[in-house]
Amino acid sequence: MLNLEETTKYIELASKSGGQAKIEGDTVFITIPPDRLVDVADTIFNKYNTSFRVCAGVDERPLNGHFSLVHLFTDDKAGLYVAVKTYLSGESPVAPSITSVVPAADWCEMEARDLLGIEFTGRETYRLVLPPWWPSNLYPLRKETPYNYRPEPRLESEKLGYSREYGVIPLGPYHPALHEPEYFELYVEGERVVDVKYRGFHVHRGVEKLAESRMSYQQVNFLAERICGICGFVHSTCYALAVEKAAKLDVPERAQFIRSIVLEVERIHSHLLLLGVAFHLLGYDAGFMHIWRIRERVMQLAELLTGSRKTYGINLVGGVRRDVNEEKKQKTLEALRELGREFKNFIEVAISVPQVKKRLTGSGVLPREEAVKLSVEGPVARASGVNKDARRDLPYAAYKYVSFKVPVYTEGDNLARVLVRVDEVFESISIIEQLLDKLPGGSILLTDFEIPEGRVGVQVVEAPRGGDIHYVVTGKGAPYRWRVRAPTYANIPALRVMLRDQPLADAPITIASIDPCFSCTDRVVVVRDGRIEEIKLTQLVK
Amino acid sequence: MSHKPLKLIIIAGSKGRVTVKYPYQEPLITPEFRGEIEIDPAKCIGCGACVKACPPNALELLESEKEVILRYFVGRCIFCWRCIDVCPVNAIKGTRNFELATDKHTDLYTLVVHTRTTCEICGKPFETTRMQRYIAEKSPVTEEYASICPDCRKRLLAEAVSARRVGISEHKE
Amino acid sequence: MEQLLVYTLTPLIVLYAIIPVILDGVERKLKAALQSRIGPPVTQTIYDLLKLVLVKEIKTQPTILYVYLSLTSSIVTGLASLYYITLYALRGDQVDMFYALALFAITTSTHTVTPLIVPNPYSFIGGIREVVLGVVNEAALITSISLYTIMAQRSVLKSTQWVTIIAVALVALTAFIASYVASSRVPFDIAEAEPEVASGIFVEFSGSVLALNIYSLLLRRLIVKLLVLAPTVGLLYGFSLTGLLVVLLLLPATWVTYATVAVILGRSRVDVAPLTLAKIYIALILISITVLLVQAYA
Ligand code: SF4
Ligand code: SF4
Repeated sequence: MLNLEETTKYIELASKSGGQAKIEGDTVFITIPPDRLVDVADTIFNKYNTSFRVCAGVDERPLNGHFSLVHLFTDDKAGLYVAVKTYLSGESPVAPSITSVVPAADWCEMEARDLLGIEFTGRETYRLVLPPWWPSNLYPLRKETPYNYRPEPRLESEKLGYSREYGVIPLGPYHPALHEPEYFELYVEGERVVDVKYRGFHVHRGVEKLAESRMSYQQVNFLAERICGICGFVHSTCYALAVEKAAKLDVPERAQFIRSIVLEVERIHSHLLLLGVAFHLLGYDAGFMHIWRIRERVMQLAELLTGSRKTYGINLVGGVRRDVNEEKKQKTLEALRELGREFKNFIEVAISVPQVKKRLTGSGVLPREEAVKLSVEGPVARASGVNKDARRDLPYAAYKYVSFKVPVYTEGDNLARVLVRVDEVFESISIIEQLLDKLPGGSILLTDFEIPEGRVGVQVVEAPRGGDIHYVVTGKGAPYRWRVRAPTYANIPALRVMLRDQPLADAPITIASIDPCFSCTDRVVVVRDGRIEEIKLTQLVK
Repeated sequence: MSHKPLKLIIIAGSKGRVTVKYPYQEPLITPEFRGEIEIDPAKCIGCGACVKACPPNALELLESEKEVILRYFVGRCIFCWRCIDVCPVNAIKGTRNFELATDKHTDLYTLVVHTRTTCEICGKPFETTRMQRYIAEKSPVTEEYASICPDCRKRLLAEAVSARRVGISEHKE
Repeated sequence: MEQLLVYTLTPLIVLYAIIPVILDGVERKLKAALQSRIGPPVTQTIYDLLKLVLVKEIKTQPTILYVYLSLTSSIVTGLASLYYITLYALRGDQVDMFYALALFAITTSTHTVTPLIVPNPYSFIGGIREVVLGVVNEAALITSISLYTIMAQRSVLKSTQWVTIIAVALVALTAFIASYVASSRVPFDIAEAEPEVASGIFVEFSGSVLALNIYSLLLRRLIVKLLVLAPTVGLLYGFSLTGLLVVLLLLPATWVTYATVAVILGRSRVDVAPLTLAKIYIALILISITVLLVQAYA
């Protein structure tokens, strides 16, 4: 919950470091010179125990001749967002890397390097997001690069590396059993995995550039919803809330309630989907079928409330497009009662299947220290004893009006991650019931408003997979800069810890246990230098 | 080992079979469902409001000398019905149709063809005939501008303003 | 008369060739019912196999000829094995059973090593897993069924000594477990296991090769059930023509039971399954042998 007294330490920190701080709503904006960045990040992350969410590079040259780099933290105990901004040279932007103190910043720095050409000192970098053949001095997110410019692709092998010591099992990028294009290289010794390399971003679709170049504020809602097929409503809500925060709009309460209701419907859907897939991977297909039978109810509920079984399309900046009347309310309550009963009945059976129980217990362990260090999100964090949930810590939409438990387990294994989700399904049902009960009257959509240019909004929304963050700088009729970071982006690096030293047979269920969503993760980035490199495995393990 | 996994048989028994023999049976959609849109060519005035609102460019205005064509490409449509929200004359209707597969590419397009008027001053092709009529009906006051294209209108305005500014500066001196 | 019997048995082999495909259809329907689905029609497996046979062959790898050979020999020996099981059920001559077991061992081993002929890492991983499980399970299956046969021969049940009954029960239990495992169903379908890492042995098979592979698996499912049913019926009822009919009547019931067990359980972990099974088998077989020996000397 928001505690503005906590802001003093950030203001002091800023002035001590030769910068300034400004408070807007629940966000502390700090601007400091680049040479103090590492110190400040160290203090904020390690001393103040905040979560690191993401960093975003912005091409501000058309405005002030500089590039800028914003590191986004959240102080979950104080309910504060902390945005640390540094200005970099407009000709050759160089920033110090904070990965030595905040390991979780690894990917986003490389993304800024790929897409904006910001170089980082004090770390090794490689191409993360762009394909290997992409011209080396073409930076897609620089404002002078047209959004529809397509360099001629060249075909090139993208083998990550190889090992003579260990067997290599390639997994993906196109594999009949993987639902999205991603590539894992598992290094095995017999049936044990010794190391893993991940190469994703095959489905980088450049949505940020698209939104910044050719869409309008309201159109972006629908684009945001398409970042992910499972937690799409999270993205459109997060985007809308970020713009509303930037423009200081007073969105009708009723709209915020409906957003929260639909978000919880989406969470139940997502968790049931994952549980089904997990049972399938464990060879318990009856579990898969029955969980998905129950999930069908949620999809019908979503259609009742929004008009679509998935990808609901009811968010706009300023509110929502579909109201909940008395009839829908009653139908929803009835569907939820039935759903809760059926789910409870069945999940007990499923978890008691000996193979399911045995294979989930103790496999894919993520220790708490690693979870904190990598700033992992959502059920992955909560299963490793990290008690964070943006719905409670940084309340948005209508979550401040309801009470709910945040399930936390300490085992950190696949079972814990499954159980967190099972518990959350019941919590979500109760949240929707409370919200429907308290649903205030009034309109659902703000119609007349203006969005001033040059404002900044940062928003975290707790997706089923963890905290999703959108960073919006407003522009003329459309966002000037829109940075999206889906939770899987933060969770994938933890897979290496979970898979290492585990039987090969457990790899699929462990990968599935973070409920990865590769298209979300990839939405903005491209990948590794095409050179076939031979990296010492020990080095990788670090 | 407990006997619990066996409860599956009871659950399956009590639930029966939940799958349906689609497509030999009605699809499971509710009245709320948003499907394909239908544009009423008799109502549409070719204003382009829906084109501006449509997020994925499923609606486009194709302009030629004589005609303005509103083209709906259902292959791109995301069934958001934003076009329905913004259409000033309620020319678009939502349907529940979602079975859109076809082996003819042209089936995916719907065209609404409008004739165009020309600008009274410069003679360049301008808004659709229906649009002109619609504006005239809605606000008779604008009648004198209604047949002038935006370019010419801008020029007229600029001329008027500069004439006034010249007047003011003279006054100051 | 005996000779005549042998000749009239031949049409039965044709029946054996069709039964597993139909019972697989029943199994799929049952599985669907337990998963609250309508499921495919009972004849679906026939359609599947026909479709695969009629589809245009795509030669994916160079060793295809050997794959054909090994699968065909697996099927032929399988049918021969069924012939001897039937003889055994009719006459109760343990020699027939030993022929059947020997032929079945060839069926299984040719079928199991087939994926190893294919130069594909996934196929190889899946194949090796099958072999490891196969070595453990086949040993137990053959030992326990041999013991079972010997006991059935001696009509041990006529003695009322409880030690004997326990010994027979333990051997029967081992034989049933081993036959279930040999039927490659969940939790022991580890060759197809972990579909996400190694698509298993089917990865390089298509068209008629895939059809042969599936068919030979279904045939094995039939054999392993008859292998335990024949001595069981012989023991409880006796060896005769009616005995054989009882065996054939019990077959669908056993098939359905196995299928139900498979739906209710999940898949065991690949490296755990053979070890656990080995421990159980060794314990069960050792105990029953000791019991038998004690009884023989007492
Ligand atoms: S429903 Fe949406 S996507 Fe389809 S035409 Fe209308 S505005 Fe465009
Ligand atoms: S908004 Fe309505 S009237 Fe205007 S072009 Fe679209 S369909 Fe026609």
